[in-house]
Formats: sequence, structure tokens, C-alpha cells
Amino acid sequence: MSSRRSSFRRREKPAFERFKDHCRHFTAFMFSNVGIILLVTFYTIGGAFVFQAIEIFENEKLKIIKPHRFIERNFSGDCLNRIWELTAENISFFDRHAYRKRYVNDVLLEYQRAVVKKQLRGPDVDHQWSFSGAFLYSLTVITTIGYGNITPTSDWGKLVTILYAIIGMPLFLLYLSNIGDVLAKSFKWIYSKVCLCRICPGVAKRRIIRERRKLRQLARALQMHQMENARGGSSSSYTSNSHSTSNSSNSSSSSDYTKSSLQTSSVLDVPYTDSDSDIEREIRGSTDEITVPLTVCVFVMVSYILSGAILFGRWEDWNYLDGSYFCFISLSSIGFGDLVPGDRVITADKDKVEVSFILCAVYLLLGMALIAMCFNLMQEQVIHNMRAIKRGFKACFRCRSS
Amino acid sequence: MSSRRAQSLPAHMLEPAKPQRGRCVAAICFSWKVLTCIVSHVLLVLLVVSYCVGGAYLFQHLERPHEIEVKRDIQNLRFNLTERIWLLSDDAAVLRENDWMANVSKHLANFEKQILTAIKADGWDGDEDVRKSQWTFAGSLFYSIIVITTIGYGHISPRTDWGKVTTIFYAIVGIPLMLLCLSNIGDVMATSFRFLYWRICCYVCTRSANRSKSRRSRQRSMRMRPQRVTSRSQPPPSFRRSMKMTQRSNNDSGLGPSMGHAYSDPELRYGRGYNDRDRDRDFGGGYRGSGGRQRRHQQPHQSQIYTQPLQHEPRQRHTIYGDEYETHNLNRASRYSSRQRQRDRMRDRHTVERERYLGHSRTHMHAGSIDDFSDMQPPAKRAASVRSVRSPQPQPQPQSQQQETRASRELHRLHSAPGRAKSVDPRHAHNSSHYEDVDEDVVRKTPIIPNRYALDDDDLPHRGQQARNAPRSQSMPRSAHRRRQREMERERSPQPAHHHQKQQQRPNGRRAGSLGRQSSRYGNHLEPPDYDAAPQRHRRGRSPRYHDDYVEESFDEQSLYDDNELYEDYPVRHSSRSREPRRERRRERRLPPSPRIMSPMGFPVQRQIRRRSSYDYDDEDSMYGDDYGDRFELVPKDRPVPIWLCVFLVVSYILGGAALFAFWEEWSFLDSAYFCFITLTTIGFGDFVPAKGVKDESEQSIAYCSLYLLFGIALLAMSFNLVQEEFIANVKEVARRLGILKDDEDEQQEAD
Repeated sequence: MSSRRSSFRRREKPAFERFKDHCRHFTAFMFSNVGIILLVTFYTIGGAFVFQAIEIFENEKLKIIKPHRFIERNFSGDCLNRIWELTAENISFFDRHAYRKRYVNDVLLEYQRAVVKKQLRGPDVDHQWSFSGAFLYSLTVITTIGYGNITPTSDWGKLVTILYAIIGMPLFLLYLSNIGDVLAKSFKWIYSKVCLCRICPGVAKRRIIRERRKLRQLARALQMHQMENARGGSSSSYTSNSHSTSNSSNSSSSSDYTKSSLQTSSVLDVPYTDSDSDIEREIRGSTDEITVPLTVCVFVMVSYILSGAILFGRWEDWNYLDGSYFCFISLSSIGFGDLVPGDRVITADKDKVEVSFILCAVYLLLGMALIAMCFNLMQEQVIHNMRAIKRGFKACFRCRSS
Repeated sequence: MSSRRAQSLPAHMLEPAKPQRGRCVAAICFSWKVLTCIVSHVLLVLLVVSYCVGGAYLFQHLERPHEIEVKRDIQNLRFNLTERIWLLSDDAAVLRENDWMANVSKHLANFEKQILTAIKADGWDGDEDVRKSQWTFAGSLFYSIIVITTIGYGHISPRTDWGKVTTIFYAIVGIPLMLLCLSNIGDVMATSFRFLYWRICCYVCTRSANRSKSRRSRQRSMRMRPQRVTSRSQPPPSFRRSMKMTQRSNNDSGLGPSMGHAYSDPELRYGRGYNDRDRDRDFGGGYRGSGGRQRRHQQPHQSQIYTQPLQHEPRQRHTIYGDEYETHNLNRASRYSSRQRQRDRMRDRHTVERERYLGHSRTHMHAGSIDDFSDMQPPAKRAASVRSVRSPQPQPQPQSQQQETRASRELHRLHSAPGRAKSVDPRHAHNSSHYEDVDEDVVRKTPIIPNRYALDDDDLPHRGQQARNAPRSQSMPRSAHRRRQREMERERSPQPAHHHQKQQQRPNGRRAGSLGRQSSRYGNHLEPPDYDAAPQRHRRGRSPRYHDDYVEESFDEQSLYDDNELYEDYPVRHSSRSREPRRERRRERRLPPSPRIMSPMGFPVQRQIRRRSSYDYDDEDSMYGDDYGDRFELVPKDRPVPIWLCVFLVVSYILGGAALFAFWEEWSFLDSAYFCFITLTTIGFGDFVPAKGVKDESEQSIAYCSLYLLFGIALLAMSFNLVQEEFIANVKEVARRLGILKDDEDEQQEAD
């Protein structure tokens, strides 16, 4: 983008340099945390306008070419008239059975089919492709939700959708990773400050000391266990000898070693000094080291979905189950489209944008980032746990084998 | 563990990859490996399939009654209406058209409303036939697949409350499962595709070079050379280089441009070795000579740096290449970053391999008698070493002792030579006269590891024996080596072993091969200034604990051969050893904030999971078993497949699918292409759904579609897998050129 722009201004050097710098800053900003939000938003809005224009234009063209498709037939009037004719015809000699079975039922069936067909075809293009509808459409494309309540009907619309998705989806993924990361960091920070009570140093210090003591005990127990195992298992007579040599030779640092081997299993980095500076450093240390427990992540996700359920439930008259179902299906990007934000969100009015519509879009955008964040946080935990399980399994396996 | 590797490796390479821990243990480990392989692939796929089938039954059970009920309701509605109209006409004494019309139209409006409700809320599809159901088994299966792939067409969706709840939980479990499976499949496919591409497609190009055995071995080393040569900037008169040149010219003359492409393409690509790929390379055990061009650009700068005393060196960790340089020399001393450590370890191994190749080729020059060695028959060798371990023959020990003393002598010399730091390769001094013009660069680039090669080359007459015995060759697992070391220790222990002396003896040639890390570490003990790299660590915001870790680690290893238990302590020791890389990894994961996540699309996840799984694979066994895989599979394994090929593959897959669906479903071509795209990107609008129009063969077309989309998503995952690093690298390159990227964090974010 900037390169193209900069090529226009190759002549005036200082101005060009300045311009280039500006461009750089601008692009860097666009890919930064704040910028990516703007980028996604503008991309979606632009997509909305493009799709709206294409679909409406194509629809107009189609109207001119094939006008017969757009004649509104009054199905119910037709049906009524036919039934009346039938009744009037058969009123004199009533064959009740035949009347019911054959004639009226057939007419009604026809009517029913017509209604179904009309319903399944969806609302007309003008109604569908209002600005909010188009915005929601482009949002569902780049987030890969794909409700399918609004779909392009024209060929150009389909082609543009493909291109739009090719560019938009990586952009949205970038957005997700960026925002998810930021959210994860801030969530970790909040968690560490609030839940682990790192704000008040006394509590945190006591907690850390307690934890360390526990870990050390555990490690010591493990070490004892190991030693016993090793001693018991070894049949060679060199054991004591080599131990003594190693001890004597490494007298300065053997303590280090024992410490290191003390820390078996997951008890890896427990510093063995209870010095204040150490603890303070840990308290003040980076929040990267903190793992947020699974339950908190799950709680955040569930509460987000439930709040969405309440929000949408008020707009759409869905019950809580339907609301949370809708939120889940949307946020997991499955997007069935059986429940879609309705008239309150997608206004038929072309230029009107309602608050609920904005809220819906924000809910989706934020929700996906939040889900991403939660998965980001959960992954660490899960993998950690899995590794522990695997390790345990392996140790078990090895013990048995040897 | 290394199931991916297992797939890519021929069987005979896989099997000896286990260290000799005794036949029973080996068998168990092998079975463990097989088991893990089965678990990770076959079982996973089976799990997904059975999950889908189970879901199909479940949803069918939940939804079908409701669907049938809705259909019956519609019928009843109509009959009711008919009845009502009849009554209306029958009851009326006089049929007045207006009254009658008004009444009936009210009823009709009501009827229409009910139908609409049925369609909207109950998901009635407009079909009244009770026998035809959406929720047949096939339909439910399709539904399950649609859910867990997050496509979500929405042409059928659950209508009962229980169905909705079940769907939510089904998706919660199923989506990660599916992602895991897809990433696994994608990984396997990527590996095999890469293999196919480089071994089969490009084999044709390189065939002429593969005529004789020795040549092949040379070529193998050469194949790795291109990157290395450019990156290392080896002196031109080097024998290797010239050989490579001749080889290449050979090829070029033989096969023309295609050959040139085969080499130059990856070379160019590798030219942009980025941090990211570096990391991956390490785990995949792939390319090691990374930054071709750029490194060359950085060369002068770097060499300047390295002529300075080490502790003054401005370690810029942000410059990736500088980073790697450090890895080669300093890093062993100062592991300031865990990732570095890991990488370093891997690289040690790689370097050993590499040097080994060089050693082979040189051996060809010198003696030309060790063909078999160059072609590496691991089982035999290993068996030999096992024997030697079990019953220590008198012969090897004196030799090794002699060697040891020489090693220590050399080490002294090394340390006494200040300019060459600790990475001097005595080989240069010894026997390679064509290294006369070796600049600082080469010297520094060759780590301390190759010491043993110097010895090997010296002791050419004994070499076979030594190769089996003394140096812990790369193919030899560490455990075996350790065992042997312990034996040596045992032998030595009666002697008054002074601590300091011992320390100097330890990094002898034999040990240095594998534990160059350690030897250099001892070197660090001797060279305090270098060891004071801790400030660097502080700067990186890491806790100084690493310092301690570092010491601990070294003693950990040392203890390994101070202990005398051969087998009994193995598990324990092993775990205590492997603990350390694990910790590294954990930190590593934490330290660079990993911004890629389970995205809804799942593709980035593939990357994530893959990396994770590779961690897991590398977890323990790679320490021992990886070496084989690396050496043999290094060539095709991690070479990137060009982006255009992957894009071409995906596009052709979409177009092929479009043609097929246009044929099956009688859609227009654009519609089917649109359908395929929307499906494979998991957007899934549902405006085009197979088996919607053709009702008769609905099951058949559902089967087609599911197969198509499953395979297609796996294919997409595969190409994502193949392309991502290159693509990220390209994007980064562009971004860097635009001046967006300046520091690491941005890179990270940009990468995703």
C-alpha cells in the first residue's frame, strides 16, 4: 500500500522520505494492536459497501432482464378464489368426501408449497442487502462463521466473496492472534494482581514461601525415593566408590548437583533461597510465568456466552437455551444460521444503523478474540498437564520394563 | 514418539534409532514407539470416525422423532383447515361470497403463519413425506462432520432443546479433536508430500549425481552443503567446496536448468532464514545452515565482533544471524535463553553430523577405505559398541586413554591460544593445509565438537576401532556413550583422580563429540569472563536462575558417569536428564508470547499443534533416536516445497471439486467452485448444499461431499503446514522492507 503510494512521490526527496516514514509509521500502526482493530473494521465496512453495491446492481439488472421473476403473486388470494369456486361448484351436490379429500386439499397443498418456496428463498435482495445485512455478511465471511442467511446470488457476488475471503481471513486471523495475545496478557496480569493477591506483597510473599516449602518437601521425598531405587537396584560394587569420588571431587558444587536432582518431576525451578529479594523479584516478575487455571478460562467463556444469550434473548425473544446456542454456534464459527440476529439487528432500512446491530458486531468480534485468548491460556495448561501425564506414564512404563 | 518420523523413515532406519538398552528394553521401547505411532495416527483417526458415527446415532435419535412429528403436524394442519372450510360451507344456510371469503381468508392467513413457524422454528424443510427424513443416518453423519469441522451449513440443524445442548457439548469435544486429527493428518501428508516432492520429483534431477555409493555419500553431505557453504562462507579453496562445485557443475552439465533449480531454489529460500524457521528447523532437525545471503551480508560485522574479546561482545539478540553465531560459540558458555539452549543442543548434534560428513569425505581423500562408515550401517556399529560396553575388551581402553591424553593436551593448547577462543578446531592445525587461509570465521564457526575428528583423522589406522569405541558418535545414543564413559571412569577411579585434572580430561575427543556442550562448559569454568554472560540474561528479562540451572545441568551430566550403575539407574537418570530440556521448552513456550491460537478456522492451530507435538516427539527420544532421522531424512524432510506448488495444489483441488460437484449436483461451474471454496474455508453458508436437490441419491452425494471436504481440509492443513514458514518469512521480508518490523515482538505478531 505504502509502496504504491510512495512511488507517486519519488521526485521530491526530503518530502518523499518524510512521506515514506509516515507511511511506515502508518502501516506499523495498522498492524499494531489498535490498528488491527481499525483495519478489520474498515475492511468489513468496505466489504459491506462492495457487496451491497454488487448485489443490488446485479439484482436491478436481473429485474430488467427477467421481469417475470419479480412479479409478486398473491398466493392467498388465488387460493381463496379457487376454494370458493370449488365450493360454489360443489355446493349443490355435496360429495363431502371428495370435496375435502380431493379438491380443497389439493388447492391447499399447492398454496402451502408456494408459501414454503417463498420462505425458503428468503427475503428479497433489497431487504437482505441493507447496510447492516451486508456488514454482517462480510463479517461472517471473514470470521468464517457463515450463517448463510444472507448469501450472494449473483455470479459477481460469489467471485468477490471468494477474493474477499482470501484476503480477509488471514487479516482476521492476524486480528485474532493480536487481540487474543493482548487479552491474554492483560487477563494474566489481572489474574495475577487480583486473584493471586500480588498487589499486597505480604500475602503473596507468604504464599510463595508456603508453596516453596511444599515443593521442597515433595522434592526431598522424591530424591529419597530415587536414591533408594538406585542403591537397591545397583549390583555393582562401585557405587559407594564413585559416589565418594564424585563427592570429593565436586565438593564445591556437588551441593548444586544434589539440589538439581532434588528437583525432580515438575518441581523444576524452585529457588532454594528464601531471600526477600528473590521473592520480591518473583512477585514483581513478569506475568508470563503465571498459568491461569483452566477453570477460570472456562468460567470466562461460559459467562461471556451466557451474557450474550441474555443480550440476544432480549432482542430476539429467544429463550436462554436458544440464545446460548446461538452464541456458541457463532463463536465457535460453526454458524448454522438457523438462528440469526433478526430484524432488530439487520434493519431493513438501508441507511439506518441501530445500536443493537453495532453491539452484535462488537459481540462477535470481541467474543472470537476472547475465545482465542481462552484457548491460548488453556493450551498451556492442557499441554502441561498432558506432559505430566505422559511423563508419569512413561516412568511407570520404564520402571516396569527395567 | 516420533511417529511422524516413523512415517517418513524407512523401516531399517527407524529400528536402530533406539539406543541399546538391552534387547528387552529395546523391544519395549520399539513397541512403545509403534504404540505411540498407532495412538497418534490410527487411533486418532479412528477416534474421530467413531466420534462422528456416534454423533450421527445420537443426533438421529434426538432429532428424528421431532422431525417426523413436525411433518405430521403440517399434515394435520392442512386437514384441519379443510375440515374447517367444509364446516363453514356446510353450516352456512346461505353461502354469501363475501362472508365466506372473509372467514376463509382468516383461516388461510393463520395457516400460512403456522407453516412459516414450522419452517423457521422447527426446521421444516417443506417436505411432507414422513419416510423421507433429513435426519437419516447419512444426514446425521453429515451433520456431525459439519459441526466438528465448524463448517456449519445449517441446512439441517437441531430443533429440539436436547439436540441443541448436545450439539454444544458435541462441538466442544469434537472441534479440538478434529483439529488435532487434521493437524496430524496434515503433518503426515506434508511430510510425505515433501518427501515425494524432493525424493521423487527432484530425484530425477539429481539422479545423475547418484551413481556410486561413495558419491552418494558425498552428495549427501553436499546436499547439505549449499546452504552451509554460503552461510559459513567457507574459504573457496576448500576441498569440500570445490568438490561441491564440481558436483554441481556436473549436474548442471548433465541436466541443465532443472538441476539448478533443484538446488538453487531452496538455497534462495533458505537465504532468508528467519528466527521462526530456525526454531522449526531445530525441531525438525532440518536445515541448519540457515541464512545464506543475509548471513553473508552480515559476515564482516560478525567477524569483527568475534575478534573482540568475548565478554565485550555486544550480543544483539535481535539480529537473528548474530544470534545464531553466538549459538555457535558463546552460547554454549552462556545459555542466556532457553530457546537458544535448545537450539544449540540440536545444533551441536547437527554440527557433529555435518563435521562427520566432512570427516568422511576427507577420509575418502585420505584413506578412501572407510566406505562403509560413510554409508553408515548403524545396526552393526551399534551392536559392536554394545558388545564393547558389555565386555570391555582390553584393546580399546589403552587407546582411548592415549587419545584422552592427547585430547587434554589439545585442550590445553586450545585454552592457551587466546585468539581462537575455545572453538578452535585442532583439525585445522593438524592436517588440513587447505585451511591455511581459514579466517577467523571458519575457526569460530567450527565448534569444539570436531575435536574428535581431528583425532579420528590422526588415528586413521585405528579409526575403525575408534569409531566404534571411543567417540560417542552421533549415531550412538547418549546413554550408551555415557555408559561407556562410566566404564572408563571406573577404570580410572583407582587412580588418584584429582578434580581439576579430571575436568580437563573429560572434554576429550571422545566426549567432545556428543557433549561438546559440556566440554565447552568446562571450558567455561576455565574461562571465567566468558561465563559472565549473565548480564545478558538479565537484559533479556530472564531470571538469573538460569545461571544456576546451567551449573546444575553440567553436574547432572557429570554425575551420569560418576555413577556406576549401568542399567538400573537408567530410568531415573534419564528422567532427570530429560527434565532439563523439558523445562527449557516450557520456558521457551512461555517466553515468546505465543500469539497464535486456536482460531476458529483451525489452520493456525495446526501450526501450533504441530509445533507442540514436535516438542513432544522430541521430548525424550529425539535426544537419542533423532540422529538417524536427521541424518537420513534431513534432505527431503524439511526442505520447503515451493509455495506456488501448494497454491496450485489447493486451487486445482477446488477446481476439481467444482467440476465434480457441477457434474453430480448439476450446479453451474461457478456455483460449485463457490461451494467448494466456502466449504473448504469452513465458512459454510449453506446456500449450496449437496443432497439438497437430488433426493434420491442423497446418501451417495453426502458421502462424496464428506469425503471431499475431509480430504480437502486435510489438504489445506497440509499446504498450510508446508507453506506457512516460507510465507511468514516472505511476509516478514516485505514488512521489513516496508519498515514495519523492527523488533521481535512485532515479528511475532506479524508472523501470525
